[in-house]
Formats: sequence, C-alpha cells, structure tokens
Amino acid sequence: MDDLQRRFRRLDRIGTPDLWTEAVGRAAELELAPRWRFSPSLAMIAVALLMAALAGTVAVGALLNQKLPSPETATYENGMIVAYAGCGGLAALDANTLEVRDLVAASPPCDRFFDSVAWPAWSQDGSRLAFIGPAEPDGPPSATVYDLPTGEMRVLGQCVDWCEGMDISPDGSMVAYVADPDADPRSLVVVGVDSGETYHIDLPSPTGRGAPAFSPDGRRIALTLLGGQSGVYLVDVRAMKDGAAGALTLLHGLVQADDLAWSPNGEWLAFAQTGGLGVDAHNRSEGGAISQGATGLVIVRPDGSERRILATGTEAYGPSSPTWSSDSASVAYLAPVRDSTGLDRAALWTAAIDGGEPTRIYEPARFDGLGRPAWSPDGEWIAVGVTVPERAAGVVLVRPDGSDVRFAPGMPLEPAWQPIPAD
Amino acid sequence: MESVAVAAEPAVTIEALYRQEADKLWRALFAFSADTEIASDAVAEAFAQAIRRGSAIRDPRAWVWKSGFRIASGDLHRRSRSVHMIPDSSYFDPEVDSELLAALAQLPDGQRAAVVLHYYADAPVREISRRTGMSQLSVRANLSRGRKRLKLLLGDRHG
Repeated sequence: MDDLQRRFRRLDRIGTPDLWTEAVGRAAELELAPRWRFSPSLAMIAVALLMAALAGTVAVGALLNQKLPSPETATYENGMIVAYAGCGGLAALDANTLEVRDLVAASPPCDRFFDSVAWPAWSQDGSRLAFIGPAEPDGPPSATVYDLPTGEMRVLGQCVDWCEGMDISPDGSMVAYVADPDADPRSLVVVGVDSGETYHIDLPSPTGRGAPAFSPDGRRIALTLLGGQSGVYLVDVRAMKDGAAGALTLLHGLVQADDLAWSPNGEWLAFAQTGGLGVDAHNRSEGGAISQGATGLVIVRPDGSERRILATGTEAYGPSSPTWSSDSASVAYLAPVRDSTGLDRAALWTAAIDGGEPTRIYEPARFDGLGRPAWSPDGEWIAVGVTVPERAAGVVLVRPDGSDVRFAPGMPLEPAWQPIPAD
Repeated sequence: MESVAVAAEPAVTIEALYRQEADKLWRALFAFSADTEIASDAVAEAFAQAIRRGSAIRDPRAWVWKSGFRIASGDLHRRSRSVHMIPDSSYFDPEVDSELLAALAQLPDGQRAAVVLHYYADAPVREISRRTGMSQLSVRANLSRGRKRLKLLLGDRHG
C-alpha cells in the first residue's frame, strides 16, 4: 500500500450521518409529484379527441405529408465539429467562428456528467452521425444514429451495460460496435441503419477492449482487440452478410492493438500497439532510450505488409489516438512529453508516414489533459478536446504546423469533424 | 395529508443496499466534493430515487454510485464551486486529511472521481466506468492524469 492509498484509507475513520430516513422521506415526496393517472373523465376526453382526429384524417394526412422543417444544415467551410454532449444531446462547433451550440438539446433535466466519450463517427456525405451514449439521463447506453437532414435520432441497439467503439459505413447504411463487455464470447455487432438487419460476429475469447473501423470503400471492417486474443482483425462485409465462415480474419496478432484509424485513401491502417515492436524502442518524444515492450504508433497495409513504426513511447504512456490527414500522408496523434518536474502529460504530434522525426504541434498547459484528436476533412485544422482544471473543458483547434491555436470552451471532449458534403 | 405508499419490497432491498454502501458512498462523495452538505444531499437523493424506481433499476449498486456522483457534480456546478473548489473549513473532523482534500479539489471532475473511486473505493477501471458513466478509455486517462497530478500536489513525485 503506497502513501496515497494510506491517506485515502483515513477517510474510513470519518463519521457519517444516517440518511436513510431522509431518503425515504424524499422518495415519498417524489411519489406525491403530479403525474398522469387514469380517470374516467380524462378517458372520455381522450376518446372525443381521437374521434375528432379520425374525422379530420384528410387534413391531418396533408399536414403529415409536409416535410418537417429541417434543422440547420451544415454549410461551414471546414465542416461542422460535433461531439456527444451526454443525455442524448449533441453539441456543434463552427470551426470558423468557434460558436458552440446545441445541435440536439440534451433531455431535461440533465447535468452534463463528466465528459462524454462516445465514439462519434460521421458517414462520408456528412449526413449521419453514429455514437454510443445514454439516450436519456441514467439510461443504458445505446447505439444511436442522428440523421442531420431530418433531425431524427434512431436507437439501433441497447447496450446491456456498455458498448465499445462505434463506426458508421461511408455510405451511412451500417454501423458497427462491440457489445456486451461481460459476455463470453463478446461480439461485433453490425446493424443496418435503415433495414435494422443485425449481424453478430463472435470475437475470439478472452477479449478485452475492442473497436471497429469501416474501410473507406465500406467493404471491410478493421477491428482492434485487447486481451488474450489481441491484435488487428479484418471483417469481410460481404462474407459477413452471406453468413460465410471466416468473415473475421487475423491481420496482425500477438500485440495489444488499440485506437485504429483507416487512412482516407484506404491504403493504410494506423493504430497504437503495445509489445511486439521487435526493437529497442527509442522514445522520440523525449530523446531517451526505453525498454522493450514499449508502445508504438504503427501503420500497416490492409494485407498486413509494410509495417512501419512512426513513434514510440514508454509502456506506461505511449502514442495513441491516431487521426489521418486528408491526403493520407501524415498522422496526428497524442504522445507524452515530460516536463522539468518529471511529470508526463499528453501533447499533440504529427508524423509523416514516409519518414522524418515527429513534430510536436500543441502542448497544453501543465495540468490540462487532451482527448482524441480529429483532422479536418480539408486538412486545414486539427481539433483536440482538452480538459482544463478550474475551467470548462473545450476543444483546441490548431493548424497542422502548430500555428494559429484557438480554444473553444464548452465543447465535449471527443470531436468528430463532419465531412464536407459533395456539391 | 394523503399517505404515500412507497413500494415495500424495493425499499427493503434498497435499505439493505443502503446499509452496505451508504457510508462508503458518503465518504467518497465527501472526498469528491470536499463538502459534507453536498455529500449528504447526494446520498439521500440517490437512495430516494432508487427507492422510487425500485425494480426498474438493473444494477442498484452501480446506479446509486453513479447517481450520487452525478448529483454531487451537479450541486458543485450549481454552486459555481467547480471553478475553484474550497474544502469545507467548517467541518472539523480531526480525521479529515485536509491536505488531501485540498489537492483533490484542484483536479477536474473526471480525474477527481476516478482517483477517489480507485484509491478509496478500490474500484477497477471497469467498475469506475459503471459507477461514473465514463467510458473505460476515459477512466484510464483520467486516472492516470489525476494520480500523477495528485502525487505532485502532495509532494510525492516518486510514488
């Protein structure tokens, strides 16, 4: 037991109040709060209203056939940055003006509880956003798709406890996520957004965390798994739909792989890897030698060839969360820097895939933390969530060369940059 | 006044849960908020809502912890103390490690919750995720950063 644990243990000596009577009293007050109950008079009114509605079917039908007013459609030059804000809400940030607004208001009453990492992912035409999060306060997380043109929020699957990873196919027709952390075997779930057709692919057991990513052509799903059968896997979507055996194949095994991102041109996979690097990793972030078994940011062709290590780190803290530039030539990622007090903290780096030293482009203030970065579709900006003690969290926008840093407070931590719709 | 029937069976179950968890939850919320009033309000409210929801809650233990932290977090924000938390100096329990509370108060909400649940409630990452609503990825990040910062604030750079 270290000193910190001992200090926390002292909390056990503090006396506590008995609040059970208070809780029961409050529960009774909650019961007294007004709510709808059946009453004969209300039922008669309801029947009368129903009759009136039926009589006016033609008029009502005409109204329903009108297209509902569309929510504001994204027209920003750089696309709109959207993040899941908790409680069913979506927050949107205009990259040009730094204005933050509710794209979808959270369900009241709702406190935005801590941060809300929820794997938001856009379809390639920027019309559908998939994410995982509770559809209501305190509710179970759901696999959800938000349809921008109509404003419709569709729940495609309820998570038993917590689902992991989420991606949407480029054409917006399917979502994929890993379900049931406690299930054995766990499964990759693929759901048709419009059809509701659902496929379950059992994952190798035992399995820890997992996260899928569709290829840009939508024909494959890459999947990183942590745990006993860890590695990078590929799912052939057509074989999955045909029910063929072998839909899931191992691409790069016996490594702890995480945070996978497919390059926009479909020619590379980037992911964070722990172990199996096969080198005495050299920590480029600090310039000091570190031990084997270190972490690395790795890229590999989708057939498993041409593996390259773009950056390395310590076992405790390595490069993670890659996001590709639109020309597929560079990767931005998080990796630590060590300050004069010996404290590691995350910084934002870029690395060209054809070689050269990684470049540190944004280093937050001493105690700030960084979330997953996202490179804009036009390549002009990189957005990264930042937690700032004593201030609200927000999103930092920075040019890929590290210039022109801007901070947008009030945005949730995991930004997803909307692809620019094709004209 | 009309008598109110709170569903008997769920209340009994929740009372058993209260007897098991309330002290630990209260102390964790006290460490989280540095405020006895917020800790008491959050515990009472979380269990009140649990009683009312009864069997609709699938995992009551995780639910009351999550609700307790959510309520305490909301209270802190409403009191605008999340901007700069000040440990409750009116609470004079000699067992209170005021230095620890002051250091915790300097962490962001997510880091503070993750550190308290890890060090005080002995919760592993998955359990912290269940009790806070944060993803496991987020818990790991918050725990790592919160632990490092807390040790630095407390003058222990080697632990």
